[in-house]
Amino acid sequence: MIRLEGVSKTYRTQAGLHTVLRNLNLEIPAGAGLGVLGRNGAGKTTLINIIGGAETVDQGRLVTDAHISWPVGLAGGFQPSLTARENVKFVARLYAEKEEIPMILNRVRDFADIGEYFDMPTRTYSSGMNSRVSFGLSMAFDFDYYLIDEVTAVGDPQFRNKCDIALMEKKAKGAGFIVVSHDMDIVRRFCTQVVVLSSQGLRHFDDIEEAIKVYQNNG
Amino acid sequence: MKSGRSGLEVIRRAILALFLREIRTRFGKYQLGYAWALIEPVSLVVVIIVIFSAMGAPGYTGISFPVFLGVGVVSYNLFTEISNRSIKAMEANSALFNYRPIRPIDTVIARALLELVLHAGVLFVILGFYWLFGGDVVIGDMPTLIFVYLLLTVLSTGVGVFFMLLTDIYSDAEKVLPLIMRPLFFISGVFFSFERVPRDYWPLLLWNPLFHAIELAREALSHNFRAQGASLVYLALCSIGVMCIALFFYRWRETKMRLR
Repeated sequence: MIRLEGVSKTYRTQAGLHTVLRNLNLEIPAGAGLGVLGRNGAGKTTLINIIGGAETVDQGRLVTDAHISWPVGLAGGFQPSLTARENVKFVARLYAEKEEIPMILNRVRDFADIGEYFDMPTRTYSSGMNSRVSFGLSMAFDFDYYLIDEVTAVGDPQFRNKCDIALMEKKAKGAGFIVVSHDMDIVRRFCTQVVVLSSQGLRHFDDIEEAIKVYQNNG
Repeated sequence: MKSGRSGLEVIRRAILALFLREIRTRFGKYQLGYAWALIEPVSLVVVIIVIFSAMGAPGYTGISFPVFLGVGVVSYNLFTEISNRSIKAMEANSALFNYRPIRPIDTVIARALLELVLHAGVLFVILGFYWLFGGDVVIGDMPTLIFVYLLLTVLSTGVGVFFMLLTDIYSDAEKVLPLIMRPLFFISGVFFSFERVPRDYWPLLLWNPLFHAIELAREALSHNFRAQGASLVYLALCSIGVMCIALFFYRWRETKMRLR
């Protein structure tokens, strides 16, 4: 379970204070799929970052004892001068037991399927190869919740299909999802409830089609 | 994946993972690899020792001059490297805060530990070389030596964390630390000792915990060199005091920091 209680987040900008989230309450039960819709700048990524622990809240609190992933497909954490193997090892050391590390390395290598590039510095990678490794890394662990922030589907159709299957498998195993996307098909497939973020605050919908309609009408 | 890992275990893992990543990143790309970690600073210290010896620098009783100078330079380097690198630690690792187990302070601690290991290595390589060439090397008091270097690491990390947080509020603060560092080279006894300073001037130098650390380390690496004026208690109080202030400051600022 993940619960946000009265969460507010404000950024200091050169133009003054900018409040992104205001007194937000939200509960995401285990195994649920939550879609987050909203225009650019509505605070979707901020919300994901708060849930993922990459950003702190100004007010209120985040209550959870679940294992929550980093944003799926995140490659920013890769050190460019290190190989995929070394980067994967680093993350595995954080999230897994020592004896599980070889297994995780194998999983990521098989999923990424980039041959000997796996042992070359990640700065030599194309963006497609980068996302193969980073997506494979997210899938190598069994989290209670997966954060998905606009997986801009890079890579060939085959690989996209592979990602899809991997995510569906996680869903079948009972994992929860928090999905930010402008692609309504993804929202329909993974989500059982939707929140629409706007300057008026947060609106909660159990009917996904209704939420999509509201979101699309407000543009 | 196991759940219910204790907080301390999470921190230990995060620091270990960052430590290994830092080593790999800094030295993994070279043919000679980790050897560079030692070659660079060792050669720097050797050059300084050779220059000062050639200038006919005064000797000190109970300790040979290369050891005397080597300890001074290595200790000063440890202090400056840790505090300078701490300032940048968070910024350089900001993308890693997406991984939940990593907290900003972990990146600083991992870097400090790496510097401690490197500089301890440098010191022993220098002593080893000197001994090979027939020099007089004694390790008189190993426990004190270890303790002094641990305290020096705590002190430098505290100073680094403090300036890192200050830089987060006023970005100019990162320019201030190097300004302080340079004069420290001349007033911390890197190439002289309290013994040679007239007693009247002691109060001008005694406040400086780095001076205490250098003198105490020399005493531990000598037959009977006396660290006049230096106090282990004072060094300990300063180090722990600075670290406590830095940690309080950190606790207050942690939620307000611009992580990205």
